[in-house]
Amino acid sequence: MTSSTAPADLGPAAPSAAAPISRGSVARWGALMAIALMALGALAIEEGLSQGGLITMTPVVTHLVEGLDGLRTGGWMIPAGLALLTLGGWLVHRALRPSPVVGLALRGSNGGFLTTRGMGRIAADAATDVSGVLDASAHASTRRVVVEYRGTGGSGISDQVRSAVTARLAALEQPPAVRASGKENG
Amino acid sequence: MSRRTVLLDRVVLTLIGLVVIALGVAMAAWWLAVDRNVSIGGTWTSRLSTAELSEYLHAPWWPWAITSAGVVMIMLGLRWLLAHQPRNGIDELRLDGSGPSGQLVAAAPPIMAAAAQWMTQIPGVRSASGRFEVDRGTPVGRLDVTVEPRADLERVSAACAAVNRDIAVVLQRPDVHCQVVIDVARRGRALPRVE
Repeated sequence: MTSSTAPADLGPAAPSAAAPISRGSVARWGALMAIALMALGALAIEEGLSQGGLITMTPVVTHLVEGLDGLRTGGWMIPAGLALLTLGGWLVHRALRPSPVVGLALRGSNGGFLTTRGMGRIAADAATDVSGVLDASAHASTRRVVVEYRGTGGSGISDQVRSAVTARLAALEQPPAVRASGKENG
Repeated sequence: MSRRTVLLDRVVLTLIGLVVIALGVAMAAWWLAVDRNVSIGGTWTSRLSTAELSEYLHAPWWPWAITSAGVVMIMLGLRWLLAHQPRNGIDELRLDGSGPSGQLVAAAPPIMAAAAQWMTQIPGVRSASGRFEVDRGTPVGRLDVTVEPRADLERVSAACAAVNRDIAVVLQRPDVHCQVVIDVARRGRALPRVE
């Protein structure tokens, strides 16, 4: 490996990969659906064995279907229907939402990406360096960093925090907007 | 996790969502048609009858059919669940010079281990690990790096460019992309004062 940070001119660099994305949400749903499918399979086997007289248990599928027999309409169907509509819409939204980008490219890095979580931690650290800030926390997306701090109440602290965070994140190719809001200690 | 698995997850979740929406609409429509006499087309009865379905549930073939379906569902579910294991890693990379007479192959893990080891020597870098994987259909050499909150990002960026170039020089494979994902430690450690 190269012994200094200045790369030797030995040929073209590898092309940069796309920005990192989080597939955690869809993957969790996928795993959950797979487990649900296995649970349904177990219920189906229980139904078959019960109906076949091989085990002495209540056949769940038959019990459910016969339980629905004679169901009448009621006022509860409107809130229940609305709840199902909302749940279904939310599931479709989760399924079709593109996987969120969780990192921003560092300028000149050719493939280096700072995670949004890392941006938040750097922002919080930069904010605590500002005179008059007692402690700070921050959360970040690829578009903005929001810093919340507790300060001693001096004037212009918000601007100083914003400047400090902006300066620390200046190495990003497209630095996010920085917002700072604070409250006085007391 | 492959792209096919992600696509399957998305398609099935969409279908489940659509079924849930259809159930909600059906419930509201039933109530409106029967209790409020709203004309929405079709014939709506005031009580649900599952008698016809019950006949199937007591047919002689039903236990065999439902048991077989259950076994298939468990097998498919298990396969689907196992497909979520992260196994996009690449252990070997074929290099230039491979042909019918023989293959020139590089062991991928040591290359990325060396790259990670080199990254940890950069001031402000706390730890690093690396692997080759297939990301969205592209072979990618990925380094996961954790830096101190006060690390000099310009320097880390230059190190990323350097390690990227080194990987390209070692492999001579223009189709292999490089990605260094930099996270930041929750609490900082003291950095050396003099370098």
